[in-house]
Amino acid sequence: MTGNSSYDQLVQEDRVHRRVYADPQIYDDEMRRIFGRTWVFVGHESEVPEPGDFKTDTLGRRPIILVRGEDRKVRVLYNTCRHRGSKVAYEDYGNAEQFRCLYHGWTYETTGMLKGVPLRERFRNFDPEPDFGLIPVPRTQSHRGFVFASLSREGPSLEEHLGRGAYYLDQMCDRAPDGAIEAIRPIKCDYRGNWKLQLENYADNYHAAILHQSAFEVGAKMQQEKFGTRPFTMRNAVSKHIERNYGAGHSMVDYVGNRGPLWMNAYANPEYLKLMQAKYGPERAQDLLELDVHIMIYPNLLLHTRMNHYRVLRPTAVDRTEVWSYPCKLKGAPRDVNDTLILNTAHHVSSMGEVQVDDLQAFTWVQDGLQVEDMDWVLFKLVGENVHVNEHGEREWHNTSEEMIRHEYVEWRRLMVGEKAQGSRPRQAEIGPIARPRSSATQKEGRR
Amino acid sequence: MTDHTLREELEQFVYQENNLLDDRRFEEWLGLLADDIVYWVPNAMEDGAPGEIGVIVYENLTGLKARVARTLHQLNPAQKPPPRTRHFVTNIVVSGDGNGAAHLSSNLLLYVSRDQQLFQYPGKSEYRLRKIGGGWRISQKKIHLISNNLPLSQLPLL
Repeated sequence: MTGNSSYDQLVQEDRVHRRVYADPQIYDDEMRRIFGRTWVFVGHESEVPEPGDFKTDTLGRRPIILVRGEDRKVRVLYNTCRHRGSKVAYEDYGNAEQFRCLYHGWTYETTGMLKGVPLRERFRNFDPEPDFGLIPVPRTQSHRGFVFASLSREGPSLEEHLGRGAYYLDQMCDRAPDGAIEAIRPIKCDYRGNWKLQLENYADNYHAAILHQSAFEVGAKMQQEKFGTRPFTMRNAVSKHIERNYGAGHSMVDYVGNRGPLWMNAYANPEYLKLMQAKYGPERAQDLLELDVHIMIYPNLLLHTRMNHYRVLRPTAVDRTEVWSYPCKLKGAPRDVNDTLILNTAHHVSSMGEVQVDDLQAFTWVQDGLQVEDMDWVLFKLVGENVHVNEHGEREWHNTSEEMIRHEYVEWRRLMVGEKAQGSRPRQAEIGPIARPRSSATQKEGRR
Repeated sequence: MTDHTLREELEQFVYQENNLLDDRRFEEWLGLLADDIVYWVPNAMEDGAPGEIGVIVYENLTGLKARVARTLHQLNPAQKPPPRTRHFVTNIVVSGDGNGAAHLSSNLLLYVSRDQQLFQYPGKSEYRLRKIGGGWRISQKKIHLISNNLPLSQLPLL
């Protein structure tokens, strides 16, 4: 095991040691201290809409069942029989009247309670408590249907942990005329690389126009033919956005400066616009339709409003990670809109998609490159412009930076060292020096 | 045309089509597609409309042309180096309507050598074919991978 003091040294203000990505012992510690402790996203309630609906998954390394019980309550239970430990739910998704262990036939209610034990009358010293059954994960809470679980019995509540993140999740859900999203079956990818590479990549606008140049060039050419828009150039590709972190490792990007005309996007449906205007009024409806943000909820949930999906990180080894992307429907929206969003998501994130595959390739290159022991440090030195704290207490700045990744590592270090959570408001230590000199040259570039 | 002749003709057509993919003659491969081609690789769930249940790919001719352009682009990361592929096609079953339209189903075993590993992708292919100007063209190609419910790494054109 790696001592706490060494985690202080491995993660510094603007650089991270290669071992953080390559050392199996550190990965073991992460499974215990991050995935075994903080709030981890486990699923969306819309995946189990009816009583008895369940899905199986893992929380860190532990098999779990997300199930809606006969009482309509959604629970997260460990998928392990109280007799000998066999799993009791076997399908990815299903509907069950009860969970029956196929090894010796113990049965459990969909609420998790023990129901039946074959030959029970001949068991000795077996007098279980009335609530004996499938073991619930110590803490489960949800926000707008997003279900999180924590293996730690104590610690901040989910609302404290999410902080401002709750507002961003709300925005994603508010774009549905019925106020809720519905997650459909995930599109699954995997890559040969550490899980944090995907987490960093989602908070990284530095790589986009470079790594994805082939996809962006071809995409821009198609749009040019269809809409008469501009071709791809590196200059056109300079992103004009706002980046923010709001504590607990979470961050977000608002691509507010890149919003194209509404008629070009998937939400340009008159019927949908009408439903939204009726619900929210013209101004907020327009804003919700144009909303283009990436939301990162540390450590494993990444949301994408333009294509209306979220991705879940599933580390399986120090150098192996799965990314499950869940396309979402906007409940109450016209079918056309949802069809387009679902197909756009697939074309973006699948193993035959046009963008995510580039990232997966880069993660493998990085994982290989970090086997070089003389390559001590991975650098995150790119700073944002006009860094300040905004009216919501978020740390905010303009344009491309590696600020969000540095922020992820503040939380990583905190969890790995075992410091108490401070809630999700950025602390002064995380905010750091905010009065950076504003260079007129870089500002000009940012506005281009 | 007898069933036997049709079968032989379509077998040859599909073998050639798969060879073009393996030989990376993607522009020629595009030439085998009907203008209204639907190229479809279902995701975990198979019963339902693509926009309803999700897909790995659901693409028309424009999308496929863009895919080929990306594949051949000098800066495509997934093509550094290009994967080497070989499609094995067996268990072919052919039926024609006697009026220039046909259906062909087959088993597919695709081997891909990339990232210092050998990957195998077994599945089933379903073709809808139409005779256009004396030659067969593909109006739908649907590939059901048996691993479409598992995490996959980058896939080439199937």
